[in-house]
Order: sequence, then C-alpha cells, then structure tokens
Amino acid sequence: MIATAAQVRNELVVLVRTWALPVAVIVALALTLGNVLNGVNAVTTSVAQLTQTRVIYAENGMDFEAALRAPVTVTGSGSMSEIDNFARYDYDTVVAAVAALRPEATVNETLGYLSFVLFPALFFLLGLWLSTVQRARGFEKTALVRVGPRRMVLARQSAVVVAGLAVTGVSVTIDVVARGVARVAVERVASFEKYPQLHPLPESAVGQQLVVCALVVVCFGWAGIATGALAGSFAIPAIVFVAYNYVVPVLVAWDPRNWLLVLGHRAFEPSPGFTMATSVPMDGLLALVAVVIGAIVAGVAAQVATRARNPLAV
Amino acid sequence: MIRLDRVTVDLRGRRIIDNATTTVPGGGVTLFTGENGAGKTTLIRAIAGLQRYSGSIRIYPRERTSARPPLYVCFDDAPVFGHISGYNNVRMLLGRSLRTNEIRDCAPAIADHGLLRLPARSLSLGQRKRLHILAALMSGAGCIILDEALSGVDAPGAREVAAALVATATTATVLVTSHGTDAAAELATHHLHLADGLITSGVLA
Repeated sequence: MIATAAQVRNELVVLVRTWALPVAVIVALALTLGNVLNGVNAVTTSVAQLTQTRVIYAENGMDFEAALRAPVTVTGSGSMSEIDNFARYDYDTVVAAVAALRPEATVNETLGYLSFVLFPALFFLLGLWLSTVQRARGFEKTALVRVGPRRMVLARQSAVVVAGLAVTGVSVTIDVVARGVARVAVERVASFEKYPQLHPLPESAVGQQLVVCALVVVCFGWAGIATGALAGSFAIPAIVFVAYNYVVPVLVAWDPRNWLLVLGHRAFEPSPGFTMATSVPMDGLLALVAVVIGAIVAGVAAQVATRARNPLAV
Repeated sequence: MIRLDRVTVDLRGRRIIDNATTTVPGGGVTLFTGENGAGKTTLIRAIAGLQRYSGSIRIYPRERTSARPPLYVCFDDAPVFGHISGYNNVRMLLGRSLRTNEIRDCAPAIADHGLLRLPARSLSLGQRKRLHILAALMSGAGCIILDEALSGVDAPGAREVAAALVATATTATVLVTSHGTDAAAELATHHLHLADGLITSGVLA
C-alpha cells in the first residue's frame, strides 16, 4: 500500500516534471475564464436585447409589464422556433444569464462545460502521456523493476484521478473568484435587482454533477492509460482520439461518449452559455452501468497489456 | 544472491540462454562476460522480470520495501529525462523524494554537484552512466545489476565506481556485465561467462 502510494506520487511527479499537468491546468483555466467571459457576454447581450424589446413594445403601444407577468410558450427549436411572448422570453433569458453568473452556479456552469468539452480529450491525453512518456525515454523499465507492472498501472490510474481532482479543484476555485469579479463588473451595466427571478430556480444536483464529472475523468483517463499500454506510442493514438472526440458526432447509443452525455443531460441544468451535445436516447441506469463497466474494462486492459509486455515482473 | 535454475530464454525463435543453472553469490562483485550479442542484457532483463523465460530465477533477500528493494538494475542505455537536472533524474530513477544534500554527499567522486545540477540533456553518455551508478548505490537494493555501466566512464571515474561497488558488495549482491577490460574486472571476485547460450562460472583470484 505504501509502495503504491509512493508510486502514485512518482507518477504525479512525472506529470509535473514533463509539464503535462501544468499545461492541463492552464488549458482548463483558460476555458474556465473563457466560459465566465461568455457568461458576462450573455448578460450584456441579453440585457441589450431586452432593452430593445421594451422599446419596440412602447413604440407599438403594447404593455410590456403585463407581458412580463404572462407566461411564454416556445414551440419548435433553433431558428424555426416560435415565441408567443418576446418580453417574457427576453426577460427570462436575462434572468438565466444573471443566475448563471452567480458563484453558486459554478459547478453547473463550469463543470458541465469542462466535463463535456475539455475533460474527455484532456484526461485521455493525460492518461496516454503517463502511459507512454517514461517508456519513450527508456525510464519505464526502472519503475517496472522497482514496483512491478500491477502497482505501476494502479499508480497511474490513481494519479489520473488525483490529477482530475487537482484540475477540477483549481478550475472551480478560480471560477468562483472570476464569477464574483464578473458579477461586480456586470452590475455596472445591468443592476441585478432590476431582474428578480419570476419563478424559483431548479434545484441544482451538485452531487450528481460531481459524480458525472468524476466518471468522465476516470473513463477517459483510464482509457488513455490502456491505449498507451496497448499502442506504446503517444502521437497517433492522440490524433485519432482528438479527431474522434471533436469531429465525429455521437450517432449511436453505444458510443461511450453517449453514455456520459445521457448522464450529463440528467445531472446538469441547461446553461445560457453552453449547449451540451445532443445524446442518443438511452435509459439512464443502463448508461451508468455501461460507464462503470467501460471504466473497469479500461482498467483491466491496461493491467493485462502492461503485464503481457513484462510477463514476469513482480 | 541470485539463483538461476534451469533458465531458458528464447528470443524471436533463437535460443539465447539454454537451461542455465548458476548462482550469483552475495558478498562480492560478480563479473558477467560474453561476446556482443551473446545474451547478457537478455538474461538481465529476465532477472528483472522484463523478459519471458522458463525455469526459475530467485532473488534474495526477497522482502520488498521502498528503502530496500530486492533489485536495482542500471540499464546499458542510461535513460534520462533531458530537461530536468541530474538531481531530479536520480529522484525519478529511485522513485523517492531525496534531499539535495543526500544525493550530493552520497558519492561525490562519482557524481558531484557540478554534474548533478545540470540539465541531463547536456550530459555525455559517461556522465549519464555516472548518474545511474549513483542511483544504484543510493537504491539500498539487496541485488544491484549494472549492465555495461562502466563503458563510457573515464578511467579515474571507473576506478571510483569499482571501489564503491566493492564497498556496496559487502551488504549486497553486485553483478556487473563487462567485456573484462575495465576496472570492475580487476576487482571482481566471481566470474560468469555466457557463450552459445551456456553459462560457465568461476572464482577469480
């Protein structure tokens, strides 16, 4: 146990000394801050739209305040949607954008965004890097002699999880601060008291959201380690995965990304600044079971592949 | 002590080690010789568990702790992370957090502060080998194997390394592969020779 913990530390040291973890944190922070800026833009844009709508209502002799008290119905979606009450629709858009800028909205807004835009590729690449960088430099055999393949792979899997905690923790902390600053800055443009919530905000399932985020980290991180152990090189698997993740759409229910999207749509509230990719319909429990089995298969595959290369290392 | 019992290694259809039974004794430096391509590195990889073999290889003492692992192997390619210092390379080789002065003061005649503080990419092969030998000496392992560890190390350095190995051999099993022409050969107490897949052993004067 102590030897495995020491090896986890060593694997984290590898991630730090080869700049992989610092780069991962910087990329996550850049996207986090970009997401907050996006939230600021959403507030200013929606306030401008609401102001314009109010002017149009006044010019046409329509009662804006009465329209605000009436419900809004949206039929259709995208550019084909029909809105029966623009005043209320634009008001709700402002309120949602303002609510999304609250520091309390960090987990829903930022982890939802990071978990489905950045983390699959980031943690797959981190796992792949961890699995191949020492081998490429001839260092892996010294670790194998020292701790054996089982402990080495276990340590790498644990190190990816710890790296996930670090990246998530830093991102969430910076996000809370950035949202606080952004709120102060935006209040100069639009006083938040002018836009009270007309209906209660949906309960945010923070626990479920954190579990989904953890599953994304574990699934893709461990898949990266397994791929590195099987392929033995970084560049080609990295290019193939990034192309698959960002170019190939989710088309079938049994695409592993779909399992996490199904869980993501259940756990995360829709955000004004980010739209999660559409999932192929699938039972939530089945998706959860598939994710857990997928993570276990990736974990076992890494163990088997590493042991096959080094059959008698103990 | 390392005990090999009926060990056979086949590599890409060729028999490299053929039914070898021998013992690398503790308490001395064992010289392991053989022509280029004879299979010395392959046997070392088998002892390290990195190469499939049949038969039995036992390493004593068998207890595994982080402070005293059963085995440390200095591989002949002397791999390093080029962008980090010699100090950090030693830490990574050993998988332990060590204080700078611990590393610096261990064997300054083999690797001094001037060498250890440099980024490893600026080190020559001989200097990288010195880093690996330093890590081997600091490993506290019960068995230390050095594969061509002295090739590339200059003559005064090789004498220092050989003297350090003799001192280490009082508490550990030391196996050094060589072509029998360097300082380690002069100080070795036992000899193994590999030819045509067969190992012969002897005691050196």
